[in-house]
This record gives sequence, structure tokens and C-alpha cells, in this order.
Amino acid sequence: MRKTLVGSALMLALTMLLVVTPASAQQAGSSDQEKSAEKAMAVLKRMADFLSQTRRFSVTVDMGFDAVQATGQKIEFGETRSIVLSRPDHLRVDTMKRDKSKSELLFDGKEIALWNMKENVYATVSKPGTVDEAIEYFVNDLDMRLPLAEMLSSNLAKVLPEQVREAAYVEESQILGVPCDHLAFRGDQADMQLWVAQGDKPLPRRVVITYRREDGRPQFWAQFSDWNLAPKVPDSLFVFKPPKGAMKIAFSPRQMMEPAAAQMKKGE
Amino acid sequence: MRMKRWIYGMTWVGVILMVVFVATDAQARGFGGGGRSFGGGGGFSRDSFSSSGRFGGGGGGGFSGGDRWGGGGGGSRSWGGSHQGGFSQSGAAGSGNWQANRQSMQSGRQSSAEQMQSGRAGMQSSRQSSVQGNQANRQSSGQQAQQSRQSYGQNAQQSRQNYASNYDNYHYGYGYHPAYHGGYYHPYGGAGAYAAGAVAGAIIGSTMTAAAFNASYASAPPVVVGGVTYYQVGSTWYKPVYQGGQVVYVVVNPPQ
Repeated sequence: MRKTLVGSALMLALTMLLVVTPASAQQAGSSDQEKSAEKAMAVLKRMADFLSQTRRFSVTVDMGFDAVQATGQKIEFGETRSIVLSRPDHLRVDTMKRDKSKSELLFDGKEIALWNMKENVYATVSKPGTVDEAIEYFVNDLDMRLPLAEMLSSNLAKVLPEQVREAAYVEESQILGVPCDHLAFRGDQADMQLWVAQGDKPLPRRVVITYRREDGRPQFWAQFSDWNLAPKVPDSLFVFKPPKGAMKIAFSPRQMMEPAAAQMKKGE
Repeated sequence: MRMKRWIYGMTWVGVILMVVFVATDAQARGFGGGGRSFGGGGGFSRDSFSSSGRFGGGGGGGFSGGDRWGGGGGGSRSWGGSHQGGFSQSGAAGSGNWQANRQSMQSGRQSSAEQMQSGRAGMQSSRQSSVQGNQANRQSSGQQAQQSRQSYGQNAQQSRQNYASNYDNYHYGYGYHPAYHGGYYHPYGGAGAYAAGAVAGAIIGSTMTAAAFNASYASAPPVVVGGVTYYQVGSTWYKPVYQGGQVVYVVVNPPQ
């Protein structure tokens, strides 16, 4: 009788122990996770605030991306872009692709101009307004390509954190000798890793984006160097002068099918 | 005796509680999967197959046989692939933007809602549907390509080849376009224009990349009509434009 009582008591104690231990361990685990997420979000916000509030900057961005072939093989292409941004309404992006073809994108607050050296063609379109508006128009309406356009937005501090579904602080990490915070985020379409310089200039140093919903999960990466927060920005830098012999052409964006036609296609 | 029974009862209750708890905990752990392994206390694993940097990979550490490398028919054929002009540069990754631009934003948010369903089952089903979606896309894209190629059959053979390569290049990495395969139409492709194009031998509104155009028609002289530059090749008129992030040559009606 007594033995049974002791046995039962022991059993109960053991049960309690088992019940309590994993619960508290789990709590510790999730609070670590929360801390990591908070830290990552704090760095992200700091970077986004800093970058979107910087009146002007220039930076060189080397970038590459995977093109997944029909066979599933990934081939990387890439380019180097020199970006000069002078808020609110001046932008210049000089691009040198790895195949050596060059292009210039200029915006002077009135007109967007794009020139391709190889074909020696250019196009201009009137778009009075801010850089934000010009970029949006260029990418969405003109259907043109501007990698990392998001980073140039003055809304970055507002928009970027909204897109984060999960966040984590990975570790302290050096990029080309610059001490950085290595962050990892998950969004709806893609995952992003970001390396942000430590110290009083929290600028992005490297970004890797994984398009996890795409076949082959292709990646885009970019490495930032030569950050300059006080570049010389004479107006002439942003005004387009057609080079000799250049031929003017038009922007001719691809268009969506009309809804009815698209429906029919789907029904096939 | 009554006491004894009570104690037995309590013991069993204890045991059952324990079993139930352990099960629940395990379940919770399993469902937590994504989040936990992501942010978890322990951090990120550095183990990765690709971190070895070895090309051959696998057990042997070398190429795993000619036929996988060379693909079906053999040797160089699959290396060149269907796009004779080289490798396609198309794909979402070219956009370099985290959030996809344009129309895809919406569909992205929808599918994320699916994914939000808790638990692994939800994740799996959303992954499945995405795979199905991709497959459907690929199919319809294949059909489209075939159609275009067929209609291009009216044209010279050489032009068909170029079109095939162009078809790939045309997608040049602009952005994430789930709707894309569902179809963009070319802005010049009205019904009337189509008929005129068919007579001329090339579809009005179809495009070639600058590279493909230059490879075939480098000698075609530019013709300026009303300040717009055209190129005439036989009875077909091309107009260079910026489209989808690059310079392309679009087939247009002869300038008046």
C-alpha cells in the first residue's frame, strides 16, 4: 500500500517534470527566435531609413543572376552598374554588361532617356516628377529592367519591412573586409539575405535573392562597393545628349492580353 | 482498498497525461518546423551540398556519365539546346527585385495566403499547386512557341531559327511573370494587322532580338520614314524598339 503510494507519487512527479521541461525549453527557443527576428528587423529598418533619407549617393553594384535553361541547367549572366542618385529628381545608371554592351539611363526630373551603345539607339520619354515616379513608370509602364529598383525608392523604409514574413539575424560577417550584419528574410515570392555595414553608415554591402517559387530556384546577387554619400552631381550629369549617329527609337512595352482572351487561353 | 484503487487511477491518469503531452509536443515541434529551423536558437546550418564547390559532386566526384551531360540524343545537340542562339537569359532572377513587379504582385499575395495555412500539410499542398501551375505554364508556353513556329513556317527557314532563339531571348529577365505565359500579345497585333502580316510573310508584331537581327540582316540598310527608322528585308519591315528591357526588332506594316 505504502509502496504503491510512493510509486504513484514518483510517477506524478516524473510526469510533471516531463510536462514542464519541454514547455520551458520551447519558450526559451521561441524567445531566441524572437530576439533574432527583432534584431534583424532593427538592422533592416536602420538601413532602409538611412538609405532612403540620404539625399544623394553614388555606388557601384556588381550583380549576377541565374537564368534557368529549359534543361534545368543554370547559367549566370551579369553586369556592373554605376548608380548616381540625387533626390528628389535626378538619377543616372551606367550599365556595363559582361558581354561588354553598355547602356545609360538618365533622368533629370523632366525626361527619362535610355541609350544602348552597341546598337547606338536611344529613346526618351517625358516624365516630369520625382525619381520614385520615374522608376515606377520605367519598370511598370515601359516594361524595362532596373535591378534593385526597390533600393532606390525613398519609400524603402516603409515598403521593405512590410514585405517581410520572417526575419532572422544570422551572424556578424565581413564583406570585402567591411564588418556587416548578415540578415535573412522570407517574403511572399522570394527569400532575401542582406549584409548591412555595421557602424554609423548602415549601407547594404551584399544582397542575395532566391526566387523560391521559380523552377530551379534561381538566385540574384549583388555586391555594393564605392559607396559615396557626397558625390559631385552637376546637372549636366543627368541631361541626355544623343551621341553622334545615334538613332532614336521608341519604348514599346509588352502588353497584357485582354481579360477575355486570357480566359480563353486558360480554358484550353 | 478504495485508496489503492484511487492511487492506481491517478497513476494511469498521470501516464496518459504524459503520453498525450509528449505527443502534442512532438506535433507542435513538427509543425513549427519552418519557423524553428529558420530563426532557431541554434542558427543556420552551414552544411550544403553545393558548398563543396565540386562540379562532379556525388559519390564518384566526377561526371556522372556522358548521357546525362549530353542529354537524350547525344553530345553537342543538347548543349546547344533548342535555342540555337545560345543560352536563354530569361527568368525571374534577372529582375533583381525582391517583390516582383507589375501584375505578379497580386497573384503572389494570393498564393502566400494559401501558404499561411498552418502546418506542413498546408505547405505541401501549396507547393503542389505551384508545381502544377508551373507545369501548366510550361505546357501553354510550349504550345505558344509551337504555334508561332508553325506560322513562321511560311517564312524563310533561317528566320524560323532566329525566331526560336528569339523566343527565348524575348523573355529576357525582366521580372516575375506568372501571367506571362498566359500571354502577352504584341502591341501591333490587331486583327487587321495580322492579315496584312500574313500576306507579307511575317506576323506583324512578332519580334527579334537585336543580336538575332544583326546576325541575319546586318547588311539591311536603315530607312528613315517620317523621322522613324525602319529596316526592310524583302517585303518585311522591321522597326527597332525598346521592349521587355532590351532592344528588339518588331515586324511592322510598311510605313506609309
